[in-house]
Amino acid sequence: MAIIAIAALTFGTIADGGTRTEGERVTALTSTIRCPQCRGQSVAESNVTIAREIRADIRTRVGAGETDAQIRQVYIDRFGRSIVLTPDGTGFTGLVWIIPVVAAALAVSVVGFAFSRWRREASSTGEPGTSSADRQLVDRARSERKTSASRRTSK
Amino acid sequence: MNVALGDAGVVAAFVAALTAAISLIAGHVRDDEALRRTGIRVAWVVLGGAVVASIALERALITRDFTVRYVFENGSHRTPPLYNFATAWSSLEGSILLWGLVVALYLSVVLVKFRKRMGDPLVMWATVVILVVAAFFFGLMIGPADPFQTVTIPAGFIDGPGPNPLLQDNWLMAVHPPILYLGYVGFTVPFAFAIAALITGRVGEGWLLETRRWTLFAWGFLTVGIILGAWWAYDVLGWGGYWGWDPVENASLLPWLTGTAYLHSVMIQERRGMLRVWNLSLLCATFSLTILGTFITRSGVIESVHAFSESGIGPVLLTFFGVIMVVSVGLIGWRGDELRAPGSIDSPLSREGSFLANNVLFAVFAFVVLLGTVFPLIVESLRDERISVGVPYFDRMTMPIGMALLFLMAVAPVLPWRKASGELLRTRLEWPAWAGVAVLVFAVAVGARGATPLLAFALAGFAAGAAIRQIALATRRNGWRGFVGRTNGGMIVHLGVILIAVALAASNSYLRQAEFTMVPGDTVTFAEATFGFDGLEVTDQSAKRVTAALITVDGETMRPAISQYASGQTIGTPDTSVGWTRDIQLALIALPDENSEGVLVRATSQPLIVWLWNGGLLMAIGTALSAFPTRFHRRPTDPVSAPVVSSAAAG
Repeated sequence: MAIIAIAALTFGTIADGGTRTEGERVTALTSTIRCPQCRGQSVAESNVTIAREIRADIRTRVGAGETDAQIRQVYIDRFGRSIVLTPDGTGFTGLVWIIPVVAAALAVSVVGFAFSRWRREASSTGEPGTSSADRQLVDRARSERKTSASRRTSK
Repeated sequence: MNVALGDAGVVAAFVAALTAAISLIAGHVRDDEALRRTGIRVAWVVLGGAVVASIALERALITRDFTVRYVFENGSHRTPPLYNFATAWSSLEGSILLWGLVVALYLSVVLVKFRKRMGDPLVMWATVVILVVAAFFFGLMIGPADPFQTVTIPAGFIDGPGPNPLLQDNWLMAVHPPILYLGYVGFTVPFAFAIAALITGRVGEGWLLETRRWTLFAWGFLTVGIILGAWWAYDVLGWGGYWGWDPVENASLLPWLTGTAYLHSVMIQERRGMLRVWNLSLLCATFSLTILGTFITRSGVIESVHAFSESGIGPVLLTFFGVIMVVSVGLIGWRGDELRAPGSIDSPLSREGSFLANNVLFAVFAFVVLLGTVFPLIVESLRDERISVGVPYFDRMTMPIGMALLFLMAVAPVLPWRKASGELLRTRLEWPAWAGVAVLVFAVAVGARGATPLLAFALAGFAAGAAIRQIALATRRNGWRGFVGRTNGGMIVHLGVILIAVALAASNSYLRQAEFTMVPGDTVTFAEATFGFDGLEVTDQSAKRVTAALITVDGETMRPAISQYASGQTIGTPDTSVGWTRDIQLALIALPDENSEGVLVRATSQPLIVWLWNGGLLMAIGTALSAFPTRFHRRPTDPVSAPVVSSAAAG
C-alpha cells in the first residue's frame, strides 16, 4: 500500500514538469500585489482600472522574460513596501512568519510536558490522583447504577 | 413617527435589559421570589423593544422616510423590495440593531426553555449575562450607533443613493448576514452559562450538557453563514475566488475556529472531567472574538490605525472586549482551585490525545489568522511603517495546518478512549488507508499533478474512509439511527469538511485565468472551451442599467454584465457556468471606449467549485443530525466500557 502511495505521489509530482506556464506565473504574481485603490484586495481579485492595468503590465513583463523578483521590485519601487501582500521575512516584519512557528512549538511542548507529567503521576501512584473519597464516589455511582439497572429489568 | 417608534423600542430594550438584570440579581441576593419574577417579566420587554425598533427601521425603509438618516444614506426609491428589506442590515447602525434583535431572540428562547428553573442560580446568572450583553448593544444604539438619527432633507433632494450596489446584486446578501448573526450571537448563550458556572462555582459538567445543543446550533449557523459569504463573493466579485483572507472574512472565521476546537475538547470534559479551564477559556475566547471581530470590521481600524479615532463605536467595542477578557480571566483565576481536574490522559494515542492535538492545531490556526489580520496595525502603530499581509501569507501558513487536520480527521475517529494499541490501529485504519490510496491513484489517473494537491486528495480519501467506516459500523448496528447522534452526525460533518478541503485544494491548484479583448464575431479557445462573442445587450431595470455581453461557450450562452446604478456606481455582474467537475466564470471588465473598440472579458476555469457549497450543505445536515437526540443517554457516571442498557433488556 505504501509503495503504491509513494509511487503515485512521486509520479504525480515529477510529471508536473516543474516549469510553470506564463499564465500560471501571471496568476500567481498578481495575487501577491495589492490593488492600490482597494481595501486589502490583490490586483488579481479586483477589477478596477488600476488593477486591470497592473495585471496587463505584469503580463507584458512576464512575456518579456523578467523574473518574479524583478517584477515585484518594480512595484515596490513605485508604490512602497506595502504594495506586496507577502510581508518581508527579515527584520521586525519577519516576526509575522516566526511567531506562529514559535507558538506552535510552544503549544506542542506544553502538551508534551503535560503527557510526561501524567505518565509520571500514573507510574508513581498506580492510579493517578485517586483518593479514598474518589473511591467511595465511584463505588456509590456503581451501586446506584446496578440498582437502577436491576429496577429497569424487573419492571 | 418611525424615529419616535424606533427610539422608543431601543430605549425600552436598553432600560428593560438593565432593570431585569438588576432585579434578577437583587432577587437572588435577597432571596426574593417576587423580585425575581419581576425581573423575568421585564426581560421579555427586551424582545418587545427590539422587535418594535426593527419594525420601525423596516417601515422607514419601505416607506422611504428620508428624514431618518439611515434611510437618507442607504435607501432609494429604486431599490427592489427584497434588497430594500435587506438594507436594514447593510450598514453599521442597522447591523448593530440586527445584533440586538438576535440577542433578544436568544434571550427569549432561554427564558422559555428554562422557565421552570429560573430559581436555579446557574440559569439566573446566565440570563443576567445575556441581559448585560443585550444592554451593551442597545446602549450602542442610544450612543454612537443610533439607527434613528434624523436629518433635514436638503432642498431639491429626489432620491437616496441606495445600499452599496454589491449588496443588491445577489439574493445571497439578503440571507447571509442574518444567518451569520444567528451563529455569531448564538455563542452568547454558552458563554453566558460558562460565566454563570464560574460565578456559582458549579464548574462541573452540568453547564456543558445544558448548552451542548445551543453551541451546536450557533456553530452550525456560523458555518452556513461563512459558506454563504464565500458563495456570495464567488458569484458577485467575479475574480474566480471565494475567500480573500479579508479582515471581515477573518473576523467570522476566528470564532468558528475556536468554536470548532471547543466542540471537540468539550467531549474530553464530558467523558473524563478534564480540561475545565481550557474549555472555559475556549468559550470565552470564542465570544470575545465575535466582539473583537465586530470591532475590527466596524471601527474602520483596519484601514489604518489613524482612522480609528474618527469612529465613535471603535473605542466602545474595544472597551467591551477588554471587559469581557478581564472578567473571564479573572473568574477563571478566582475559581482556579475548583477547576483543577483529577485524572490524566493515559496516552497520546487515544481519543483524548487526538482531541488535544485537534485543539493545538485549531488554536494555532486561529492564532495565525488573528496575527495576520492585526499585524499591519501593530507594525503601523509601533514603527509607523505600512505593510500588507495578504492571501499568500495566509495560504502558506494555514496549508500545513489544514493538512495536519485532514490527517487527524482520518486517525482520530478510529481511536478508542484511554489507550490504543498499534495492532488495533492497524486493523481499524487498514481500509481507510486503502481509500486514501485509491483516491490518490484516481487523481493521478485523471491528470491531477503537483505534490500539494495530491497529498491533500490522498489525506482527504483517508479521512473520508475513516468517517464512512464509523457510519457504516453504526448503521449496521442501529439501522437509521446510525446517522444520528453526536459521533455519527459529527462524521457527516467531517465528510462535508473533506468535500470542502478537496474543492479548496483542486480549485486553488488548478485555477486557470485569462483576459480577452473581443469584438463581435471573435472566437477564442481557453481551457478546452471555445468562447464566441455575439454582441452586447442593454436592459434597463429600476435600479440599474445592465449591459451584458452575449458569449457562447461550447453552445451555451453566458451573459456577464456591467451594471450601472443610478447613483453612478458601476459594478460587474459575472456569469458562471456551473458544472459537477468544473465551473467557468466570465466577468465583463470593460466596455468599448475611445481606447478600444472591443470588450474586455476575464475567463476563469476552476475544477470542483460546486463541492464547496455541497460540502457546506453536508456540514449543515451533519450538524442537525448531531443535535438529534440518541435514544440512550450514557450517563457520565457510567464507565467508558459499560454496555448501554438497551430497551429490550429493560422491557
